[in-house]
Amino acid sequence: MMRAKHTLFILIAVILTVALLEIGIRTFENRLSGNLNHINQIPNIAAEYEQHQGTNILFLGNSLINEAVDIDQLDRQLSDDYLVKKITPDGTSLWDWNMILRNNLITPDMQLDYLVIGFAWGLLNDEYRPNPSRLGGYFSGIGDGLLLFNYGMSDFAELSEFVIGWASKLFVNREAVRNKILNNLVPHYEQFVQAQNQAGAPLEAGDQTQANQSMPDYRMLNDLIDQLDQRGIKLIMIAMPIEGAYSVNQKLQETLQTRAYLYKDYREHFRSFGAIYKDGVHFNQKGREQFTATLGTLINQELSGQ
Amino acid sequence: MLFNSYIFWAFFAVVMLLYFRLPHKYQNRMLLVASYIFYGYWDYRFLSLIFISTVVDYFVALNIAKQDDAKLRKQLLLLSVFTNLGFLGFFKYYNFFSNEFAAMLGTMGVDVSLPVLNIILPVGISFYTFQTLSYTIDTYRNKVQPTDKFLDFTLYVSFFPQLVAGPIERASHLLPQILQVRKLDGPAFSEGLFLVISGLFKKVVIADNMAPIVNTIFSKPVNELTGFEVLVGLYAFAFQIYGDFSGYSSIAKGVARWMGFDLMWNFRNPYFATSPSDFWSRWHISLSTWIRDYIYIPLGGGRLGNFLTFRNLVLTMFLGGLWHGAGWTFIVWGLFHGAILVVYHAIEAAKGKDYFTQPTSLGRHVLYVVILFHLTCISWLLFRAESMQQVVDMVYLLATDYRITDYSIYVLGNILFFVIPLMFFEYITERKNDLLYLVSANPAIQYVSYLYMVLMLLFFVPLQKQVFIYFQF
Repeated sequence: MMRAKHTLFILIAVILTVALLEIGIRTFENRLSGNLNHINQIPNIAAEYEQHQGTNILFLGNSLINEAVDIDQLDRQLSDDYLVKKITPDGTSLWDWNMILRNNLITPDMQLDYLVIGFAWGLLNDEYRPNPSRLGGYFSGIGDGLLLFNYGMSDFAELSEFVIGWASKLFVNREAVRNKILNNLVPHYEQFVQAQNQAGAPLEAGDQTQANQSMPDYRMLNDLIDQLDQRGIKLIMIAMPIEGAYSVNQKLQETLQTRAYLYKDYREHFRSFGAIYKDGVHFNQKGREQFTATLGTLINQELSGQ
Repeated sequence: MLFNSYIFWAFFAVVMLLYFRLPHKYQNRMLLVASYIFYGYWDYRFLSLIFISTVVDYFVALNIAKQDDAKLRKQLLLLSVFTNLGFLGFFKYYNFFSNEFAAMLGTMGVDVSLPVLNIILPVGISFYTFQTLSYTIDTYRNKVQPTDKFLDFTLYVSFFPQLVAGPIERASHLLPQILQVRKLDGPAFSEGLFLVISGLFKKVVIADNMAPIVNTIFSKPVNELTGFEVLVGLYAFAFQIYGDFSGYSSIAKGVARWMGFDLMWNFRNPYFATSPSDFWSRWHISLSTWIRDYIYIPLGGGRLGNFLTFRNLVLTMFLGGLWHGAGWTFIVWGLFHGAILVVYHAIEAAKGKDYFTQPTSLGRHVLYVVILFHLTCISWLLFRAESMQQVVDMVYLLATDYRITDYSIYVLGNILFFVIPLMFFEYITERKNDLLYLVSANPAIQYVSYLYMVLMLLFFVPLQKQVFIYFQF
């Protein structure tokens, strides 16, 4: 019995230490990565829209949009009436964007006028697998669990990760901590992990799209458009250009053409501009300038003319 | 239901909740139901196979014990052997042997097309088949008194912690624990905790972090690799398979320990072995002792002179290789282990029995460990390779190309980061000759060790979940 008591005390000490680390990471998480800092800025961005009296435009997406849109350049192109911001956490999909909007931007006080979402591959499919711990930790509350379950996050492992992610920032940020430590200790870590991710990620996204081509489901997208319609927020959807090709299936095209305020298919639009990608997926400086200029013209023509 | 899945731990929490509220008899009934649910979660259709094996061996053992007629006893034993090995042969080996037979006839000019069956290998069939087979054989040998309690025997065959990947428990060890009231005491909690956490650490932190490296190296065309990359890839696989299988065994033992059972140790610091026989007394102990008791010794073991001992060693390891899988790489893996056992036995025959096990100096001890580890790594190449052609190509690279690349440095860095702390801990348990050393170590050491394992489990679990390698056997 003494030994069991002994073990119990050690177990409690370990749990207390982990709890201390949890407090530590909650205090200093912004220093962990630029991406986390950006995620924690989302409520502040929402607050800016609440206060701004002119036309509010939000770009929403992941690193595809982040690397493609230069807000300063856009500000110079547009009149002072516009407030343009972007929310672009890394590696996110419609699962995350949906919750970011519902919990921060589709609120009674919000004055958002235009929402621009940039997507590629199967990022809008319900079948695209979310990162449950990140959803739980940053983009939704525990009460959103039922909604996410209804959208198809019904696997026991996903639900468990969602709950743990909601409870623990240590758990949500495990990958960032892991990368930081291994990058310092293992030679060439970043080089080979990036190579591995680049080899796997587009392929995986492509696989998911292909797998879902037979029976894609856009329930989440349609529900989101309903919500935006109710608030009078105009949705602009952009099929983002990448160096390779990906398909946008008939059902999605029809949904976007009939239900979005504007749908722009830019997949082939930038082919003639030469070397505009830094890694085959994300724009380089030249690509970003071209893309932002195109967006500026689009906003001036389409929105100012309305 | 994988030990490294959330669903298993939810399932186990429910089992434990019920377990502590029930009297012994109903504990066993509940464990039986839980075991069938556990197995049926993979594929409920294969529950019938376990049940048929159980029914056959239950009645065979009871009738063997009742019979005085030696011939009849033997016939009953053969019924059990054919039933169990029949299932195993059909599900595991049919396609391999039919393909090889057709290919052999093809080389003789006879063109035949034997039917290929599209069948799934039932999870854990090699494990529970050997477990239940040992029961009838031991009854036949009068080493075990069969039980007439059918449900308890059914639990012996299907006990969920060790059902799908062992340890392969003998009836003489596990059955009495099922039949008697189990003691749930303090040491059971402490030991179970250590075994479960260290098992998860080995599986999820060590094995699953080695897996992407190993997969990359073994999926690349050989002409894109260097010999040094193959070497570090083999090191990575050595620790992947060790972490994977010993991790599973450790969790199985820990989970059972929390319920008052004491399963056998399946691993004892195998990479500290100095000779092949030492290695096999430390690696997958429940299988190597099974093969020793039911194949090697009946063949004559080491009692019949050098030549027959060597034959028995090679034959036994050949069957051991075949047990692992229906493929030439596994067969050659078994033969390779048979061959190095023979070479070491021959050296021991010339230099003395303790030549490898009692080295004369620390330097020699380290040298023997290093040599055996590298021989084991060569055997892992056979175990992991997709084909014999890949084995040949990689061995050629290993022998001719020593270029150190950035990728090999990256792999080595990963191995050092993940594996060195485990090996250091195992070195201490080896020196102290106590696998449960941490349970009785001083509180500071326990605190640091548990905190390290918990934090590694929190931060260093790869997002891609890996199944247990030994489930395929």
